[in-house]
Amino acid sequence: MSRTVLLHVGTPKTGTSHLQDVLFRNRHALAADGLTYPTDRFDGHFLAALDLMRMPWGGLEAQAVGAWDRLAAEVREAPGTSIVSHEILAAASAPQVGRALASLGHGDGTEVHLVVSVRDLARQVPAEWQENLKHRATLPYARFLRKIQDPSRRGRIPAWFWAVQEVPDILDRWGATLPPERVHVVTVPPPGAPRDLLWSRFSAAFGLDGRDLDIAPERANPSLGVPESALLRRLNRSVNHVVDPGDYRPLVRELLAHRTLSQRTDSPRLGLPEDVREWAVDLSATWADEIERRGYHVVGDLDDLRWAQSDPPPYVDPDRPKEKQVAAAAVDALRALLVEHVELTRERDALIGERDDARGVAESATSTRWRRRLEGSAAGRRFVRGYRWWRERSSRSA
Amino acid sequence: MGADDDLARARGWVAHLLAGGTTPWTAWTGRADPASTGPASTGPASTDVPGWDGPLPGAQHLEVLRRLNGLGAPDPALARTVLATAPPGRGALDLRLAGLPNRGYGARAVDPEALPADELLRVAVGALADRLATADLPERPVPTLRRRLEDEARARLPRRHPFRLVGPRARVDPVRRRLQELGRTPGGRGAVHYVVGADTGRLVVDAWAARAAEGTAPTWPEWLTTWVERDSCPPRADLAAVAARWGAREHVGAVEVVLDVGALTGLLATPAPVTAPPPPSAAATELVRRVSTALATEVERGRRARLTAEVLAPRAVRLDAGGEPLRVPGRHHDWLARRGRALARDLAAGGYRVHGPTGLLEDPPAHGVPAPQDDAVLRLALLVLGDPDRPDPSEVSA
Repeated sequence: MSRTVLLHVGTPKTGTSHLQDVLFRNRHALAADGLTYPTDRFDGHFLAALDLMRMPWGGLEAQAVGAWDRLAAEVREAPGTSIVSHEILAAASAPQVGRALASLGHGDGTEVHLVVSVRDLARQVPAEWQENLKHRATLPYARFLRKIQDPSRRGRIPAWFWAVQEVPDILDRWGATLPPERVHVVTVPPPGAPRDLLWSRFSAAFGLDGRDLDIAPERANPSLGVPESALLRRLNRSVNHVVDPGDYRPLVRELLAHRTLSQRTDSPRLGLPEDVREWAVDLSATWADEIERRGYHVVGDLDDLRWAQSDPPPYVDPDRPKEKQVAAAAVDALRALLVEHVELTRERDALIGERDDARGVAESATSTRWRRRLEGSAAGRRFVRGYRWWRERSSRSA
Repeated sequence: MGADDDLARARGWVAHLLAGGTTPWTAWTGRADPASTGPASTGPASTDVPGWDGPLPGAQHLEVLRRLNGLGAPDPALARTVLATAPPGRGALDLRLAGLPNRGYGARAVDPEALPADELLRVAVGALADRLATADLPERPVPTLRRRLEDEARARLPRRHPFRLVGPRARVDPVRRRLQELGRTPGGRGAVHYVVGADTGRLVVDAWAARAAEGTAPTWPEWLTTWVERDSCPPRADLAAVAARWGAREHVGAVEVVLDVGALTGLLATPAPVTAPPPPSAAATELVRRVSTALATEVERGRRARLTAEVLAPRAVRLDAGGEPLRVPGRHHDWLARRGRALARDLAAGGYRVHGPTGLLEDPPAHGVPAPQDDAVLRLALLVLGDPDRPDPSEVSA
């Protein structure tokens, strides 16, 4: 049984993809060193979280049946320390948290440590809207901002936003039965901090310091600019009912959003209107105070949560973007789709060629086998002679 | 009233509901047994309620239990299932009761009676899925070899009205059962293959219902909009494709299409009219969809399809007998009529004999509600939850 479990439950948009990528790529080296990241596929912990939280996710849920119990069993069987990490766990309800902790051995001899990575709301709000866009959402930014500020929080989008972003509530749900010294809050540094500062905080929180790990960034969840976000929203409105979720993921989310539009870093960045920014900064500050009051172990600095950009650039509204910039983003998107189409067509043609070659070889092998079998008997030889005579006669008459 | 008093009142209400009480929260003035009242807590720690050792349940859980108690015959095991249920999918987390101490964050505290039906429905559906996941499936009698050989031989004997029924299961199964009651079993040498259809609107609704029972179907409006925007016919509603498939397998003359099952009375010379049962209510269909979606991460596909089709659906249909069925909304009438005309054209082009007025395809009647109503679905979900788990003869035969 694992003596210690490090349970990382979010929040989204705090560098979790990079952390999980490093853990996954280095899992064998870590295991040799007594640290288990139990999964055979990159999204293993995501599937387990879908299972725990009974969450359909564009068809992926079919692969998630029993995934949490399998993960928990691996954790219980692993020696030393195990790590479980997925950011959507932040949205688990109290009954789900109870089930998760019990299944990992909490209260049964295992020392569970909770890790929550946090970033100030002024950066999280735009990032969450963009994440919604990458999951086929079509609502304008202004409406998104109104919905999340509505105290009733009614509806799927605000309910999800607060479930994964309201840090004190997440800590209440996940940390209610843990002593404060076993709750670790990792803060995301403000813009301009050294590039590897966040990694060094994760490394300290997960006990990875001093280990020889490949930490080159291979997988990330990058942000989009204003015109790119506007383009994606328009695209969603146009394709949502004609492109199935299984096709949307690789083509729109991965190819267009992650690999193409997020590379356009010269466009205006998405921020918040001034009044919303003030609200977000104030709210983040109250959360920082609450965390401080509770006496959790902080990796980083709670002032990162209180961060307020002193001289923010002018707000650029993605609901009224500059059409020239959107058109330029659209050209890049078209180019990416064309290149992809050409590559897929070539691949398809190559596969058709391979299939035809294989079919020719199979047919030739079959006819050779039959001829040999027929020539093995007198009657068969007579049949082959007769067949050849008939074929020659037929071709002459033709 | 102090914070301790408020919490004692909440604990008292939980105990009241667990004992089968029906008093609304706003009218509740009782307290928990002072001996069982633990220290005040603002987090989701233990409630110290006799019979309940979890955190204070969400307002939505408690309201569902109260309404279930209102149906009579409270069941303590069911009550605990409801309070421990993790509502599936995205929505509000455990909501706080109005009047409890304010934490300064989290969703606004609520009067449980005023919660929207959708939030309560998530709890009811979660509890139903929990119960269904472990339910026994009705046994399917396995015919002996002798019986199978006899059936096979009987199917090949000449008959006065040899026939087979093909087409959407929702159409075929009840008609087959009715014909068996009337002494007409499918089979016989040179059987006519009757494609059992209906008006175009019903075919489309049936197609969504079948999808809903099998897995994680989109909502009715989302699914329908997909086909309207594509201006095509859902494959399961395409009678011409079914006819073509059987025509290719047998021959075109062996396939006939029945739009009105009453026509089978004359075609098969039955001693009494052939009728189809009324369509399931919109609420029953939507409940099956929601529960099937909740089961998607809990139960593998084959078992899930059987649980919904053989255990849940018959119960939901029985408890909502007479409920309004679903229909295609009037705003999509042009699309429906266009698809109906295309279907009629394809059937005529295929050379199939059609029984029943083709007006059913081209100008389908509009009876029912244009979308499931959350209130009706919630009412039915509570009825199904409160329905005793005794075997139902209609379920076993289904």
